[in-house]
Amino acid sequence: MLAKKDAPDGTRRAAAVPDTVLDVSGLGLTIGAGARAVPLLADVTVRVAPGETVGLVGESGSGKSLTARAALGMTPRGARATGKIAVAGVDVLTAGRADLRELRRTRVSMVFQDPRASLNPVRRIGDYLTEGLRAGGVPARDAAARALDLLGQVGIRDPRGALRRYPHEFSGGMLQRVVIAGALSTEPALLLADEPTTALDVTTQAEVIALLKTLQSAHGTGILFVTHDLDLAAAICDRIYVMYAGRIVEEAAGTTLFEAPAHPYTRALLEASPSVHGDKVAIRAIEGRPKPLAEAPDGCAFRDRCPLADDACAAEVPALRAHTVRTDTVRTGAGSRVACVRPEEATP
Amino acid sequence: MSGRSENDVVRGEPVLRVSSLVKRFGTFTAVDDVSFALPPGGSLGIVGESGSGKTTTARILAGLEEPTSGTVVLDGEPVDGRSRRARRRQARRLQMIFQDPYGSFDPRQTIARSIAEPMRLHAPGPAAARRARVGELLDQVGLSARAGESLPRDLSGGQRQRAAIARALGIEPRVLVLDEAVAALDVSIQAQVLTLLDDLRRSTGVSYVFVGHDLAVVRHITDTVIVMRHGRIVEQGDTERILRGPEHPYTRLLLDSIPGPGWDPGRVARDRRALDAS
Repeated sequence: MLAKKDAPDGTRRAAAVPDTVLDVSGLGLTIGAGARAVPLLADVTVRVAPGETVGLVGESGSGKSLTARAALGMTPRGARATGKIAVAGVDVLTAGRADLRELRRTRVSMVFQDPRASLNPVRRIGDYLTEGLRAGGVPARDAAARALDLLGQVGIRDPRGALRRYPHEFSGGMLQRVVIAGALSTEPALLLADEPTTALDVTTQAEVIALLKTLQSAHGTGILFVTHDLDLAAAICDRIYVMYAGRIVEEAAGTTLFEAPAHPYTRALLEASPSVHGDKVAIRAIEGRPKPLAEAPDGCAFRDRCPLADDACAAEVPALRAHTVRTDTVRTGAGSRVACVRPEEATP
Repeated sequence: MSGRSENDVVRGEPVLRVSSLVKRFGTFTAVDDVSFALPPGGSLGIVGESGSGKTTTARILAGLEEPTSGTVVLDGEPVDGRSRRARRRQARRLQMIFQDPYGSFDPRQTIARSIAEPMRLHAPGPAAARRARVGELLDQVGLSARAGESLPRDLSGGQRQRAAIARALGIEPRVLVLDEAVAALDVSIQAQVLTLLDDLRRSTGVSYVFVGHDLAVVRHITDTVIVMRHGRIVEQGDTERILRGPEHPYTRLLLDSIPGPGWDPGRVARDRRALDAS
């Protein structure tokens, strides 16, 4: 389940290519200055290895989308970033505009919730699919052949006709497949997928995810998958980061997170989610509402909603530290980390 | 949490009975021969994907669309006629709640005024009594008096949805039609609203028609369910029975599409193509 360390052909890449395609460490993001400064993210560390699918889950205001966008150098206007972001070896926070553009064109792609937002409504699908390739120096005829091939791969009927059609002639699910085909056409090292299936019907979601996984394994792309859907994250991600109020509060393998949540927030989220699987169990609501970092209490940001919180939780922001999980079903919690002063009480 | 409709309520006439409902838009049939009954205090789910006809069915119930044929009987009276009076009579007994509560509030009115509005329209009486009732309703849905004095934009999505529920309950309707009413909410807030809906059904005896795409939510909030595809009902009955032992291949496909342990999206995609081809 965990990251494949070797390239598909079994050879190790040269030292110039590090073993992470995304390395966000200690990222902080603040808007405004002085007394008016509003913190958005604090001490966010996220890593994605080649071929790995990493989930970034959380509720609104948790900072998951901000983190993914920051990885592409897209920060809100007037925001100041601290820490380090490296994408395929490029330092995003210090890179110039030309370098960033080159990075986005060749090494990183992004897919958003609404495919229509990524497409120019008055340009044909064929133009969209070939522009990236042609900008990369591929001759027009080859680019067209490549686009045709891509549309076939993503299951578009009559791909030749589809090249000449406009975005409005496709359903949302079809269009998202086109966008994913385009995003992966340049065989990027990293794909940032921000709620790519949230607006789709469930059966269409399954098709789009299947496509994403197929293309990923063909190209060895690392994926950062941003979602609010815990079940989806657990089903497709090798590793998951849980965010709350602008910070990472837990990191664990997908299955571990589900069977043995170590942070009270993760556990509360799972208990609040109704399920179709197994016997019907009552859901338990979490008091209060999720808060952005700027409005969160001192110390642990979750303590005002946490059933386990006491005075110790107010003292300081709990550091993210290694945590070993031992339950009947989960043997190893290797690599699990949690930002809670007493995680053993959260695990059921 | 469910099943109360079977135990505590005398099983009499259904509060809502829909028979052979058809809705055509030009040559397109959006709803095709849909029938179901909802007992007082019951909760019925309508599930399906986009284009299944579930929202059109809900809109017909609320009087927002007129059926091409078929009948809707609400509280013993057939729903027909597009006159103001007929629609008002219907609104008195059936209220609808939408996905985005923001769009259903006057942005310049306080929440408390918006909640009082339908009461003023449907049950005129002294202002003081209305104010007291608004206070009760706010309390019932877990909103503070301060939230009542706020404008819609100052509330969170979950608070606005609570306010929408309070407003709908103010005139004590027999049926609440909830169209994807918790779909836009965060998981922790969604759980709060679902718990609230459970409590309200138990304490007031109101019935729900819950339209949604999320089978887990529908499982939690309904007693019976109809599964719709291309405008038709493909399966209907007890929610728990259908979700544990689906008989129609489309219901199975919907269940298999939900991510979980051992999920195989590739197989779901193949099953879907097979079903579309058949």
